[in-house]
Amino acid sequence: MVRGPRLQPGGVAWLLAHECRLAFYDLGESRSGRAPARGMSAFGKSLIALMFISAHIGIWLLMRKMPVLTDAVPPALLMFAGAAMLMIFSMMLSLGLSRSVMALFERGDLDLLLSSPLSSKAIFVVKLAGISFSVGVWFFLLLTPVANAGLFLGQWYWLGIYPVLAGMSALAAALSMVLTLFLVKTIGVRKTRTAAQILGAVTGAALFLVSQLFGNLGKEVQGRVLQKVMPWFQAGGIFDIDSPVWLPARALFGSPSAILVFVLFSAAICWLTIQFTHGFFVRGVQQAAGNARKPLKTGALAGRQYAGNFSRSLRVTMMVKEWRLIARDPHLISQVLLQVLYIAPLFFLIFKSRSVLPGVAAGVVFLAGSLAGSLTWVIVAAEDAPDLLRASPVSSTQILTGKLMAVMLPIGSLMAPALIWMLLQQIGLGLLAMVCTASAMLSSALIQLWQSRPATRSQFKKRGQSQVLAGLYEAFCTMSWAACIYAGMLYPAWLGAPVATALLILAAAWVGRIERNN
Amino acid sequence: MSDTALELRDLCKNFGRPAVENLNLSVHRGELYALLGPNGAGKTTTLRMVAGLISADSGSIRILGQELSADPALAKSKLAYLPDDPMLYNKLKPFEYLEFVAGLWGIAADVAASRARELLEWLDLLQHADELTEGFSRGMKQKLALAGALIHQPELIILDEPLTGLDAAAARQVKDVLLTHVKQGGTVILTTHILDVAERLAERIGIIQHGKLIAEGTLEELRTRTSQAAGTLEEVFLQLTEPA
Repeated sequence: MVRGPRLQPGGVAWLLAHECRLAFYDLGESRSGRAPARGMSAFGKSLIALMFISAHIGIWLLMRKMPVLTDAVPPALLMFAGAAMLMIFSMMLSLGLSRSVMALFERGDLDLLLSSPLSSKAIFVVKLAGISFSVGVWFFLLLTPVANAGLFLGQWYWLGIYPVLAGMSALAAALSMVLTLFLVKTIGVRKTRTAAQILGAVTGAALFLVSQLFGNLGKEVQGRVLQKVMPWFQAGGIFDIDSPVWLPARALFGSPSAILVFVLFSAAICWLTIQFTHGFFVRGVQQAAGNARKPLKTGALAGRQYAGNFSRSLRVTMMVKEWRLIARDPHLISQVLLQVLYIAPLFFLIFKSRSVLPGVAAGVVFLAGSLAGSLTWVIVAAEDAPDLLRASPVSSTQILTGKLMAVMLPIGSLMAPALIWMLLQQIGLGLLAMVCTASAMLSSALIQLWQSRPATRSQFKKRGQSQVLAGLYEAFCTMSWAACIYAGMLYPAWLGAPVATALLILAAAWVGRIERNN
Repeated sequence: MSDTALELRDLCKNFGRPAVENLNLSVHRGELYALLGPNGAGKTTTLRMVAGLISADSGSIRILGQELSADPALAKSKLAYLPDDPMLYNKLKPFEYLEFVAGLWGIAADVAASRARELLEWLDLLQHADELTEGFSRGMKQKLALAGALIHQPELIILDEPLTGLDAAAARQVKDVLLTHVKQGGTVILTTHILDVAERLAERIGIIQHGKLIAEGTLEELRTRTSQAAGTLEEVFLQLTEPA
């Protein structure tokens, strides 16, 4: 094994190297249910390398035909780039909030680090760097092929992507940590866990939602909004092309002074964050440990405790248990909420025009299928106490029925208003949408039931890495049920094709099912 | 009615290498039996097979006269299994957890409700009834899992390392619970590495090594076998399990 230069133990660089090593090992963490592994699999690495190289070639081919920027960047392009960067930054911030919550509350090695002679500032710097790395890494993979291809074409200005992305990642990490610590200070540890996760989900989807909302405003309102907003972007307006707001976009296009200012600004924000919040970070961690338990209730208060409801049937007890576990898991809620938020604008369309109803119905089917897959994974694969269920005298069929109902009921209730509205508007489409929604939900649930391996709830976000095939089955099956809507409404003779595809996918998932005892 | 609470006949389990090999063991009703052995001896595998968590490759398991493989649900309804890592839900509160366990074992609502309160009170957890389990200490978690195991009043309780990581008070409470259960006619089988506990609590002791039962009997019988008339269980155990 080749070893790198020996770093001074206890220093920031040494700790950072340790953090990077753990982050690398963490990439293999999601391979639950298989032999323990560290790091990404050879297949995963090869796939990413292949995609990275392909992106370089594709972008190089594309950029060859694009005009070279010789003079100033056209204002429209600058503004477009600025808007895209804002969108990327909102996603980084969303991810950063989630990572900050994890760094603070899912403490892992923090007790060990904070009990060591390392300075709390060094620990905070490394944790912040870790958050910055994790929020930026995928955007680097996505955008650096543009910079590299530009270099090959002699368009050096694209190299601005590197410092800009680094600055954005650092800025997002610092802001999300400050925001999380601010929440801890104002609303307390317990509420922060939920609030920060939900805030993260909403932040990530905010720009998308705003754009969708604008698209659904109607021409007249849109015109009025544009009339009001457009002058802001014209010469003399607050967001005109000379405004500092576009400085990051200028940096992206390689302006040396803009790069310098943006990087210095990001570094300054990070430095201020470290200087002023590392102490509170440590206190936040301690508060998290101390507040894990509520103060004891004594006397009269103790009498008002929940004393259980033992009169429910097993099925209802099972469902209530699953719903409680989901409702009390902020990370999970934020992830599911994100799924809902991204497809929510579809519901606005329902009221806009009857002509878009088939598209909306397909969206409803897709959302229902995706949510059912996610919830089934949480409820079945991420069962906290599988041994308790196996050791009980209840049959696995009874347990799974209860769990599936726990998945179906809330999603069905969420979709019901849209489905009923469609039924009232167009009875044929409404009925078809109901059947397809139910089929998509059941198919996704069954695919997860047959394909998902035991895991923990914290692996929810990474479940796609550990079960690529299940993810593909679920996506294509859901899409097939969504396609049924179009086929049924526009080409009824072809309705059998997507139905057959969905059933074939289900059959394939069943044939390759894994053995499950709970 | 059978006098035997648990009977294992020629039980085998292989995980690439034999984990349990032709194990024969009988535990009487109303007995506290300690199953001891070095790490990796096959104790946990044996208990997990008895609890129905993993299936045996061959051999038979009879629980209170009922063949486990013939009617697992009936056999499991009389049994409670408590592993060293408590089977809890971090995001549930004690009553909610007991509500779920009672549901799994199909306990009548009124019985379950009063039993849950009684158990939580007995185990000093009632004052924590409004807290999520995730904030509990190891001892509190173990006690809650024990309450879950006892809520359906099992005839046979199987515990894997029940005292690991518990403070003196919690350990004392758990031991009291087990002795009370035996006094009331129940049966307890436990594994432990704390040999003093086995010495003081167990009526009979089984020592397992490399998946085989190498010695069984009362402490006196084991002393006689090892010719250590005044030896402690630790001395007897070490002599029996030392490499040849």
